[in-house]
Amino acid sequence: MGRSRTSLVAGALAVVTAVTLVAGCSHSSGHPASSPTSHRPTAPASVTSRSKTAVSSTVANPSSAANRADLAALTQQLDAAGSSLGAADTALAQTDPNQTKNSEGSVP
Amino acid sequence: MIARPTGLIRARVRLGTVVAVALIGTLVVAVPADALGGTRSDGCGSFAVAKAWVHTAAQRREATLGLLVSTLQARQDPWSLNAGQITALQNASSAISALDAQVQNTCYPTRAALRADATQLFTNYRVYWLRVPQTHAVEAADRLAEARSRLGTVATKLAAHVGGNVDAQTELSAMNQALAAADAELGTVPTPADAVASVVTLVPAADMTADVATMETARADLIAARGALVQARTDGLAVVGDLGA
Repeated sequence: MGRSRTSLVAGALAVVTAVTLVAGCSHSSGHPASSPTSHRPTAPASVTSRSKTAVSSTVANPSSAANRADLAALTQQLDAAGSSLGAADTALAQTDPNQTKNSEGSVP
Repeated sequence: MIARPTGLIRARVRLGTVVAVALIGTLVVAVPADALGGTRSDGCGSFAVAKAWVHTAAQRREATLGLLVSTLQARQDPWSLNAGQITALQNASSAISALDAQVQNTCYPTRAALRADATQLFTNYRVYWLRVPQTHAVEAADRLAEARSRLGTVATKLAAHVGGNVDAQTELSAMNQALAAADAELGTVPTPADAVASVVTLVPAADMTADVATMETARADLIAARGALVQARTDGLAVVGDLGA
């Protein structure tokens, strides 16, 4: 008997909790509780498309610490590529034979 | 009217002539023959000033060639172009050094003879007209290959991150297109594009028209490749931004 009462009380508590959660969800978002996107935040219409993407991607692919570290490493690689391009610029500036020939001089 | 004694006048004229000849003779002996570029008793014109000028011009070229060699030696040589170019530069430097020694030690009877040898310094090596732009083109191709490699690695890794992010996918696609455009101009390691590869085959010529045309073509391709890689990097940064880093 004691066990049956305990089970009934636990069951009732579970039902009440579930009803409360569903009701709270409907109030906060205004979406039907059955909608799978009911809790996704919607970006304001005023933000740029890139910001919208950043927000949605964060939700679609929750940024773990590992992801953030990966992206930081990739940013560093992009910076290193920028350094290589800068050095290439310096070299390219000396590849015009019509300019460099002026240093040749001639026999006086 | 007073008659002047003609014997006294003649004596004074003789004395003046002797003094003048003596003065000129002293001057000729006092001024070094080197400065005048005159002919010595052994039949050689000394031409000290002209020879010093040749020596300075030779040393300047050897220093420039040395810098070019060290520039390429510090690089990775992804196209396998650097080794051959380094050899060409070192050979030019050795030949210039030998020519300088020859000019300094040769007995030139005339200025024209010296000039004939000195002219080789300008026409046989083309250090500034050919070797400088040629070597920097090789260096630029090397640097651009390095940038291309880094950007390619980034693009590959970003592909694993974009997921369903449409903007990031679009930016990554643009990045890959820019990388392909760079490859078309630059080549794909280890095979350089024809224009880039042809630069290292150039040798000094009396008529530099063809050499200059080849270098200009390669230069235009390298600049185009550089532009494509800059665009690829910009696209890559945009992808990273799209992913919320």
